Amino acid sequence: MTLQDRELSMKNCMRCSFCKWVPSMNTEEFGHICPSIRYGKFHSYSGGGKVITAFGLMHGVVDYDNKMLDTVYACSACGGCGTGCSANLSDLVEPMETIYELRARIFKDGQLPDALNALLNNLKFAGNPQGSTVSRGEWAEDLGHGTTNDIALIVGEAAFDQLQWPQLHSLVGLLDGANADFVALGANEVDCGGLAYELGDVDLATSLAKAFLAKVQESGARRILTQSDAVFAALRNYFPRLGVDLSGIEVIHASEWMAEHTRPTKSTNETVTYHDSCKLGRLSEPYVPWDGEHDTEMGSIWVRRQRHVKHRYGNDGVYDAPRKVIEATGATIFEMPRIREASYCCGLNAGAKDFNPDFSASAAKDRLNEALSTGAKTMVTSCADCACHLQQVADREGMDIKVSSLLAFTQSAEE
Amino acid sequence: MKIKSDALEALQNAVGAENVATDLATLASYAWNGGVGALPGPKLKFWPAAVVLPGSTEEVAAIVNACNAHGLKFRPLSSGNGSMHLPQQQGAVMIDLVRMDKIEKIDRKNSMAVIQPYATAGRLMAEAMNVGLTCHVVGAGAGHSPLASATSMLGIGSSGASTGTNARNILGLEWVTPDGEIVRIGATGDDNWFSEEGPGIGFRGMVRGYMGAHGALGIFTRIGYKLHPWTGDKVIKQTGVFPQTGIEPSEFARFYAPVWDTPEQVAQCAKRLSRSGQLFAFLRLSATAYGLVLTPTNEDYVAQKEAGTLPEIAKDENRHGTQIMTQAHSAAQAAYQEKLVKKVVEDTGGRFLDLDPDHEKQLMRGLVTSQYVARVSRQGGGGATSFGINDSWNLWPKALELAEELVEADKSSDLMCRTEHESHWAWVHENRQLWTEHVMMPGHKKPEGTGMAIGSFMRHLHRMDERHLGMRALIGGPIIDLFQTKSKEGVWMRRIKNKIDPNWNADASFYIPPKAMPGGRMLPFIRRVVFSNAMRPFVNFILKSGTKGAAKKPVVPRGD
Repeated sequence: MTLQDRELSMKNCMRCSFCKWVPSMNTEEFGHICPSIRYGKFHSYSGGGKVITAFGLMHGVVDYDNKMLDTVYACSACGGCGTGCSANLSDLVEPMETIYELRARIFKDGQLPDALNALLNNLKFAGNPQGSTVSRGEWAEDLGHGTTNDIALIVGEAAFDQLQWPQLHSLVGLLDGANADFVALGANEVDCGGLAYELGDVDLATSLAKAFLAKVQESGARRILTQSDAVFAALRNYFPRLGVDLSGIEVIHASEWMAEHTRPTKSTNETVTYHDSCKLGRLSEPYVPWDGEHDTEMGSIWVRRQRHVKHRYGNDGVYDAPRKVIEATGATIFEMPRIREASYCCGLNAGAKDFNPDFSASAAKDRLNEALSTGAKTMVTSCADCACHLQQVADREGMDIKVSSLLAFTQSAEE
Repeated sequence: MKIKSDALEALQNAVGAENVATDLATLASYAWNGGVGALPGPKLKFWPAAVVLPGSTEEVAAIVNACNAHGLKFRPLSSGNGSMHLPQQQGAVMIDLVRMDKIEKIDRKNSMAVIQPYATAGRLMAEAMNVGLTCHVVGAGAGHSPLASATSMLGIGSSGASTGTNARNILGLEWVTPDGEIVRIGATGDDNWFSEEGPGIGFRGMVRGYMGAHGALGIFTRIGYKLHPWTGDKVIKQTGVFPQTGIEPSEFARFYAPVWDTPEQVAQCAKRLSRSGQLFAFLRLSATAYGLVLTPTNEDYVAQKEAGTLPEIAKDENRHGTQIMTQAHSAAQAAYQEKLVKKVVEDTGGRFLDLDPDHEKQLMRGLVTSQYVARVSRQGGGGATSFGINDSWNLWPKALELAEELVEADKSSDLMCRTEHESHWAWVHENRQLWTEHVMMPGHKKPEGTGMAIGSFMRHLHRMDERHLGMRALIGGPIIDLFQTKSKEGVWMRRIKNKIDPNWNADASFYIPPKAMPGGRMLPFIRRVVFSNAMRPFVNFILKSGTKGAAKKPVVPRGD
């Protein structure tokens, strides 16, 4: 797929601005779905605006400059625009698909901003985007590293964050407690290539994805279990785009496994709200490659020629399992107005925080205000990275809320 | 056209440098020619010189003054649905009102709100429902700006039976005139009167007219906006799975899907129920529209259409049908409404379809939030167009007949939607009138289909005049002159424009051109010839070739 392949879809953009809004507005204050337009305000920051930029770039009438790059990368590629757009136009435009190709084109043209190039260089030379010198396998040094007939535990970037290790060990404890046949890949784990794909370096993403798959295959696992939303989304959504075939290997998120196999040992009566991370939610919707032809039937009805096409409405993310895990502790969930496929991103992903921290913080602040509007004092999210970012912004802004990852929350509930 | 440095500096002084953009990516996103109001030709058509984001009425006035001082045309934009409010000439200044997004107040006692340009209908509705009120939502859906709709567009939506039409929902307005003066007229509630209008011609009516000011008469920055009773839940309870979402009906709401054998019976029922004043909504969709609303994807729709498995309401044999929704303040009123609807439907020879409960909820969501257009647009991105009638329900059968004739005539081309006999949408508005528009959907991927749609659109307007089918709407620019009636609306619009904006500083491309179309009194005759059946193949050929050729033109770069 290239930008040129997206031309017809780009032309379908009606500039209706549905890409800016949640499909169903329940409140006056929390109707936006796109943190990028919320931050940048000019239409070029919206999903549709990025589609127009891509079209202009392709036709040589839009040039690279700082503002153009800001419209593209002050964006967490959260997929909210895709959900909003599909409320009006179904699969006619699919702005996220164009955004991925736009990012690939910018990388190919050598215009990737320095802050994002640094992440890619770290990925290449240090094996992680932040350039951490912590050994990837250190968190799992005391665990066995043999083979398995069932589960390969993949932890993603959490391996480099010592603050997350207690949660990883807690997950290992749960697996042990359930007598699961598993192996933590530890030092054998490699980056899955998700961030490289989001930053447009498709070659690096592909090579990483292939190396990742090889390591999983070496372990003998028939299932991958991960607590990392980023890894989960990459496996289900990006791998098929990269042509890396995971067939025969089931991918499950830790929350799904916990909902099915574990019982909390200690109860709580806390009231919390739950943040659907984009990567466990709409961005984890499995991608099914489609290379058929578009056509019209009955004079004007736009269809894809092969009928068995999967439309991406964001419904097939993982939404219920983490809620079940939270509720199993006895906690009550006060839902925010924007949930599930219409969730509002915290602004962290796809290099956004490294490129434009102000954008990233503004998105987080919006989300935290929404959490506070529920009356809950604790926000739980499956994504430890979201939790860390949201808590940092909450602390900086003096917002009275505690943000906890799902594993940390269940762990504290058990203590 | 590159903006001169002194003009740019003046704009930056007006709103701050961070709120002015002249980079190509940003300018491109305000030059995009697509969707509603798109003109034949390239996708990037008229490039603005700059985009500015004012944060207050005073900043809007400062921008207008800066534009006038430097000879720049300007055009305002609110929520930005479609292309009609993008500049239609090179080098204009786009005034994007995105920063003016406040719902300033909901005045429950006076059933009104005061809102800014970027306050959207969805947000306003959510806020109003909390206090037992709701707002009119036009077909563009929840993301549209009620201020823009009330001041600058026709302002009609499918719940019009109970929420009226935006031409009359506007109660007061704050306005930056084309020469930069700030004017306040009408009311914003009992605590803060702008000014009374006094006796004589209604100035609000003159400023927005029948079809809206289309950005040609200055910039509206705040309005007093009428709200309407809502007896349902304070927060709508959503049902289903996106995109097939519905709403859980409240205790005193009822939904019906009656069908009749003839359009005359539909009209009779509409008139009788209108007189009762009990309707929340009375809406007729075309069979294709129902089919698209009730299926998640186009592929599903086509498969079900071919297999004959679409729901009853989406079948062409039930096309003389409507949806009716009532809402009451009490159980007694709900019972009365139920009895009333059943009796009138039966008296007029109708029967009720038995709908799947999930489909009922989906359709009710459309009625309350005007989500219908959004569920139907997906059939093709090729520039649907429509025309309107705003008159007595007695005209309904004739409107239908005309649409059928024109659809039949264009069907063989394979360039227009051919799923049904016609594609009329119709509803009761203001518990009195018929609103109907025939939605013509050209074939996707075929620029010449747009040409066919334009031809069909023009013939429609012409035949409406010939057959006395009421006021046209959803038209603008030179088409006003071409189809001018004895009321001489084009003459009046030009007169108003000249009075309010003698230098034509505000972009008037979708309002009225500066000079009347040549032809004068000969125009009706010319129309009769051009839009006759005999000329149809020739006109279609010209339009199809023209639009196909225009679409192939290279993208227009922004010249320096």
